Amino acid sequence: MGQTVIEKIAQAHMTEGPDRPLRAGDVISLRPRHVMTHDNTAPVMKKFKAIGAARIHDPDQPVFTLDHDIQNESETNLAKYRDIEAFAREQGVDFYPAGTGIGHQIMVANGYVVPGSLVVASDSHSNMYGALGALGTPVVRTDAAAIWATGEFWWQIPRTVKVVLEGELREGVTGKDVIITLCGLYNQGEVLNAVVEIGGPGVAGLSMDERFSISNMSTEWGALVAWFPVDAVTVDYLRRRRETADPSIKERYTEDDLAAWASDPPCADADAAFAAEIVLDLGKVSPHVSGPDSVQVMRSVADIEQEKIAVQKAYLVSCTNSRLEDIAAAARVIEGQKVADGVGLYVAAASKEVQEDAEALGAWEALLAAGAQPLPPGCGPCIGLGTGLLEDGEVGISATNRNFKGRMGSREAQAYLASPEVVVASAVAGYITGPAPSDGQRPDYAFRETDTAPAPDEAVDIQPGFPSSIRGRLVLTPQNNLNTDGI
Amino acid sequence: MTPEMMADVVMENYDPTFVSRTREGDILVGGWNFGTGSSREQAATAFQAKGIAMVIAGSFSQTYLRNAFNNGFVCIACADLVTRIKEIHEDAVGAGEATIIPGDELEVDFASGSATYRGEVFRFSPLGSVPQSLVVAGGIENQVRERLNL
Repeated sequence: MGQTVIEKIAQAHMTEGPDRPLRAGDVISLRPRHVMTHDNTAPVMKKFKAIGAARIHDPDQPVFTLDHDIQNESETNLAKYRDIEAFAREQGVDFYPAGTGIGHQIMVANGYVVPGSLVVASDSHSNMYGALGALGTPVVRTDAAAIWATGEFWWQIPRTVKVVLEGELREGVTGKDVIITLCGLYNQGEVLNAVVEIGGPGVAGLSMDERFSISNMSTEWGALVAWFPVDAVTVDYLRRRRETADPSIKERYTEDDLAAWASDPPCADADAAFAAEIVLDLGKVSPHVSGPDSVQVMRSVADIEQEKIAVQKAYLVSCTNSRLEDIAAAARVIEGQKVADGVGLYVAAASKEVQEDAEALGAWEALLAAGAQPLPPGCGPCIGLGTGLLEDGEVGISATNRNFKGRMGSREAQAYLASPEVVVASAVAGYITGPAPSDGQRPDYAFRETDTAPAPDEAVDIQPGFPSSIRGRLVLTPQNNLNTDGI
Repeated sequence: MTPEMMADVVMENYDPTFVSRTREGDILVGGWNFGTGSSREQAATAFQAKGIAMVIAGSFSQTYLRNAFNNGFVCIACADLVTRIKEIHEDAVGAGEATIIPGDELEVDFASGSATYRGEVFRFSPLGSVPQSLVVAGGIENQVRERLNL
């Protein structure tokens, strides 16, 4: 039986595991190309030291990017940031200070993530790396400390759900609308804890920024990985980045690598076993909003704008949707208009470089001229830090990826998620609306589980100290989605 | 929180009678997406403190699974077993009982990757050397110390 693309990438990075092709369910040890930590580098340092480790095993592996609490200029926070920087210097680890940008953006734009690589972060939106054809998945802080100490971490290979994209997006429909639609249409755990392997003829028409948005918010859809094929769009992005990014990118991949990705990109075997398949007609996607308060609920903009739901805050921030394409699109919508009275529109670029590019285009100034309040390139309101948070009773509309109660400020507020265009159109109108009329269409639900043959019976060696069998009284707690954290 | 304190309050938000009715060596069988929302390590270590031998569920939240094995606690996904056990005990499940203890036993064989209940055998992905050595070491921190000779 063939392997899915993620099984193959895992195989290529495996340091310990079974002596046969990997498949879903296998628990193996892997060496990632990189592990990113952000402000949480500080608690990971504590874990690292508590373990008793002193030197990072491979200083080229970790990447430290300060992005979460960058508006916090208290002495405690600044001291924490100084400690992280000092540790980076001492260990020889790449360090990006506050103001450089959001960690995930730095990772994809500076050559740390490449096709076929395994890149992790102690942050759930590492799914974003899948847009470049990498295996990007989250780890917890303890795992980050273990990777620093040994270079490796353990992982269980999830089942893979194939997502086939057909057709193309119509005018006025964005990548964000695609992922909002996937979250809202497939909201019964279809891809929970699974790998999503995206493919189909619809991929070619999606820009890199659209793919980043889709992979990024796949985390909220419930997936552990959201992998895109490597095609001319991917290779073109990586070639342009090599020319425009900080020159240190040239050490991370070469012209030969680019040629290899173009001629021999990673892909699944023809006879790979998928657990299920989803088919999505991009041509039937229309602008939608997630929420309020959950991404499992969505409404078309065509429908919700009739209610004229007033908003007080609008956010064009985050690794989901504040790249150049997003800011430029927002600027085109807002050109010559003003943010409505009583509405605060907050804008932060995904990185300082993106902001500079937006300024060069005039897009940044167009937003500021309309009354948008600029924030530094970081996470800010997406994670409920810094200025401009939601207050009691307010309704916010945001280009970010999470809208659960309390995420962006008060628990007594409501948050909707949307594309940058809809966020900015709503800020101008003062209520949730789009920049142009839309038809509220959505694709058909098309989910099909595969009848996979069960894995062949296999016997394993029992390690000394591990029980060969356990016998015990059955205690059945049948509830699904059981939150055991009652302490 | 000490292990003794954790053992005294384990699962109390789900079912306050859980603590008094369960005992060392029990095997916990749960539903789907077990451990969702439980991002702290105590969610797994509390079961260890109580002496629960392991958890078998239909599926696990990824963070829960990581915290479990990072603390050397065995969690196995075996959807067919869970479906069948819920079927066998459908009256109690249907009545909404939070914790069902029929009194009989499960046997889990790690060499073959199989779990047996009332004569029926269900297979799961056998645990290879990587998860076994995590459990033997007593968790990831111990394992890292061993690897670094600390």
